[in-house]
Amino acid sequence: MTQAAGAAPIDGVVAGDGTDQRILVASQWQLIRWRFLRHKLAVISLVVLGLFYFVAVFAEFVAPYDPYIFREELTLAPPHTVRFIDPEGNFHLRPFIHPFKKSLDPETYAAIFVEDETVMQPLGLFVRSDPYKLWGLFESEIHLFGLQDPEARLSLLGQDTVGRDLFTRIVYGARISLTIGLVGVAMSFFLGILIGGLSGYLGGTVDMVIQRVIESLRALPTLPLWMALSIALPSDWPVVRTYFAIVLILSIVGWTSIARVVRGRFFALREEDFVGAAELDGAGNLRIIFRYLLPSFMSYIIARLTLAIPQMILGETALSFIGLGLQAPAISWGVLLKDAQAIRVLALSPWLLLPTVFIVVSILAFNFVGDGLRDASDPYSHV
Amino acid sequence: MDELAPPDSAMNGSLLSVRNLQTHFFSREGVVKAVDGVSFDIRPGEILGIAGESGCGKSVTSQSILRILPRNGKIVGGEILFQNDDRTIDLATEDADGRVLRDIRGKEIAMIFQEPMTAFSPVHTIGDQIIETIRIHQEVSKEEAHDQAVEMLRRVGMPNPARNIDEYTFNLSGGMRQRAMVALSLSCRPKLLIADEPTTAVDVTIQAQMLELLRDIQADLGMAIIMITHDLGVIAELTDRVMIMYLGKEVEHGTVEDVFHRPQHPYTRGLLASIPKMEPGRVEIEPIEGVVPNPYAMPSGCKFHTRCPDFIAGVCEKLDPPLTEVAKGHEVSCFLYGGKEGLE
Amino acid sequence: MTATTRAMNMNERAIISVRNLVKHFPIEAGFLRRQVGVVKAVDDLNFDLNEGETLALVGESGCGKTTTSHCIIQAQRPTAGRVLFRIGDAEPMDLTQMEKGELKEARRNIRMIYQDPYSSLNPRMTLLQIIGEPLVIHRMVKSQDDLQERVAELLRLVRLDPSTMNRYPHAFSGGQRQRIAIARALSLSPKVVIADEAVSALDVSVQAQILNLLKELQNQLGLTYLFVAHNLAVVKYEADRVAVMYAGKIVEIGETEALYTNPRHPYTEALISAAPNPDPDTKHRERIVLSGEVADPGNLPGGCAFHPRCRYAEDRCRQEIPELIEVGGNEGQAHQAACHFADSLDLTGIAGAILREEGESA
Repeated sequence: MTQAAGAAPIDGVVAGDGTDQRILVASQWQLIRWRFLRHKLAVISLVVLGLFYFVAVFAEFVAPYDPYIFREELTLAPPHTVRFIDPEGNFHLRPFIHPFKKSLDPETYAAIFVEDETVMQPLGLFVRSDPYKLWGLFESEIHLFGLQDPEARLSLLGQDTVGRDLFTRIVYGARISLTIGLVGVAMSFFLGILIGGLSGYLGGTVDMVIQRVIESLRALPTLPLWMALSIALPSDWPVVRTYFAIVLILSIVGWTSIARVVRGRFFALREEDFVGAAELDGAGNLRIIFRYLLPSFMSYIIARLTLAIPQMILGETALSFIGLGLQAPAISWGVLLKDAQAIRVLALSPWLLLPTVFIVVSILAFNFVGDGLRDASDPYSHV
Repeated sequence: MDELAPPDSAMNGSLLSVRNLQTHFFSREGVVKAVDGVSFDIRPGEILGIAGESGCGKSVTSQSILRILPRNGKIVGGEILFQNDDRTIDLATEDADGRVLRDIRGKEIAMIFQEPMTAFSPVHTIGDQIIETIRIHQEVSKEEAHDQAVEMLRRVGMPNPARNIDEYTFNLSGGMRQRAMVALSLSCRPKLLIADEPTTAVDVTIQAQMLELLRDIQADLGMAIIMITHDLGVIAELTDRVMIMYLGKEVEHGTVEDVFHRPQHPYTRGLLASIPKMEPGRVEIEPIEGVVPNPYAMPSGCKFHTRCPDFIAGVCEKLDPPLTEVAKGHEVSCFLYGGKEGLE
Repeated sequence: MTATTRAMNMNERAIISVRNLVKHFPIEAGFLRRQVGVVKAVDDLNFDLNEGETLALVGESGCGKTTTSHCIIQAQRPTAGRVLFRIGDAEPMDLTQMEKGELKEARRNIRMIYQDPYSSLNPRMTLLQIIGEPLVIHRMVKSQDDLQERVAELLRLVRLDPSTMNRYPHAFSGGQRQRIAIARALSLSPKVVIADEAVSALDVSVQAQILNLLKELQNQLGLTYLFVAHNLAVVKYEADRVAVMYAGKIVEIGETEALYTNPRHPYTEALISAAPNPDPDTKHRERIVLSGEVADPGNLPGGCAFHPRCRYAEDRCRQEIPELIEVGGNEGQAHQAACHFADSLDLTGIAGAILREEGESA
């Protein structure tokens, strides 16, 4: 069969006229990217998440102070107002704050913080303050921003119950809170693909046993299970070990849903004609799995995973909040919120609830990105 | 068809008169003109076929009439005049979820679909659903409605109507489901029945049963039928008149005898030539060359010019061919039969 | 089941011989998956596929035509029976007894085209990868350049522009995708192609293109087709011989023209009569409308499976299963039917239908 039969005209391509030529040769991932980029909210959310993770990675540099150094005199100081206009009405290009003057309420003996309008403390970029070791490696005193006077204190989001800077602690908390979701999901992903894949590929008895195990695990109420397991963790473990133990606990339930999805997709895809065709082409099992099955649902799995991250974040927050997850001196958003448990403190110092805002924003962002990915993950549904 | 007459007198004894209907779909990829200026009339008791290949807009036309378009579909122009007793209602401008259309849907105009299961709820018996439909549109007692439902099931040839009425659809075979769906759609004695590819998913012997049923029940109840299908065999078998569509446009329209024996439009001719025939001896078939264009990149002028063997350069790709009457009641939109005069 | 079918012999013109092929699916119920019955999807099938011909398997859904084709290529393993395959003068091989490795070789020569061109092509692979896949797997190309050249050749063969080989299937319409599927099927230069409802999902104008393409390719490459379809008009156009199936059995098999003009089984007669014809003059002809539905292969009626719907049925039909026997075709051509009354019934084929109409309209 070397010669083309007959002399009939060769067909044009259906989308050839008027359609962007790039689409015709676009791979799956390109199509997913184009489609994702049309989902505005998802793109914005992705930028927000990118920013959050940047902050988490460079926490020591971004945070203006050391998260453990406290100043008793600033206990429960409110946030400063960052100003551009001084009391005389002059505009300053460089933002500044008025430092607090502390006094005691004569009746309640509660601390009252009043801005001292006679003093101006200008803000600056790359200023010196508390020394740190970035990732435990690089020593430095330079922080992304702060007050130019190393002795003064900027209270961007207020101070906590012992006078530590809340913004600094939120930045450090992002490290644990945002990565615990990723690491947890990575672990769920690994277990889910492995066990779900085995279940779907082998079928039969193996499949039945795995499915019953999954059903049993899912039948357990999540929060009590987490609580029971966390209580069992020795309280003298170092932070890092506790961290991974918590991740493991969170993933115990997390992998089951991924495993189900993987199994379902394996079953569905094995019925697809193009998989059958590949078998008749002579393709072996491994070739079918890696060239046909996995690529077909990888994008979908990634979308599912993105949607699973918020659950992990919330799980850690919930556990830490009730005191069963990470414990001080570890800093996570859940640990920070523990300070906000007392109504009395809250009524006077509402800024202690600010970590919630970061939790909500990051969870919404993950959900929007997940939505966008899910919509884009099957680029062949509408083209 | 008198385009210039005012709407009311234009009905001219028609039950339904669709005038220059334009239904477009809006999506991120662009606008698809699924139906682009289609006009037709149907008289009481008549069977009209609408035929064409996928993407020609035949199903969208029927969805436009009943205003059950998907959410991104919109009627952007034209009229759908329905003669409801003494009143002429323009279905195109009524609120799709309003009182008027709810009263018309199911009662005056009913529809049957390709997949009978979609017409029924799996958790109610066939009887419950037919009785409910009857009681929504008519003020009758439960017992009366029940009797009417049994009668309708008998008419559509259910083997044991008194028992079938208490059955669920999943207990029925495919052919029986089809019959139950017809019974449901006819339960309020509609004036017009729209059948959207009702025989596409069924086997040929069941299709023959279905066509026989539609023919009998039409003779019995006298409603008009719009039969939407891609199968020209079904059209020839059942309908009185036929409209052939291509990419949202009407290309030819006339009695089945005229259109099948004296096809004028190159597309109709091509379509008929490409169907294998059930006739003795070797009958060659001739495919239409090329492919149906992408709906997002429609050809200019006559939509068929990219595949047309009679393409007139300088005309067909520039202008939209108008409908030209080639014989009484036989209209074609093709420059081979006139309409070029406007050019000069 | 005659004595001749027991031996390993094949009709000299046959490239594939199906002998006593049986495919049963167990019906399981309850928590313990106890077998409560059996679906006789294919029940003791015998036929030959002759070299260079197009044999159509035709019938309604559930008649076992697709299962038969899957059992031939061993996509499903038959419950019993043999599928003999022979290339040239070599010894016939029984595909049902083959191990995986042997099958891989045999399947180079028996290829398949699926019904739905949207699901049969991996959307994540380019044309080059899809069509080239069998060549790569069977190590039939030496280099990437060689592969591209072969794929370009195949694309030209099915009348697609070779410059489109780096595009993905989403750039193509249904008819073009089916051409791609054909190119993939032909990439290993097979002897036999099984087309499983290969044109049913296509619009008529495109369907005609594919039907003609398949015919041209057959003439050019000397292919043998097993053409599985439900559309009688399409089968009449495409096939040299036709086997009509009902409830897992062949009820009639013969030369296309003879079978259509002179059917010998009441089911064939009914199918021909029910097929809609795009000719309004046939509108008022007397049609045979079968009552009831296709027999359920999990719960077959006794005797001839067709008897509950047959208008000629007699007591014997309810008791005895009819064998597929020679009914005397034209000019010595084999024509077999499985009906007790095949010799005595006067059945109407397409010519009869037309003649009768003319008589009526006159």
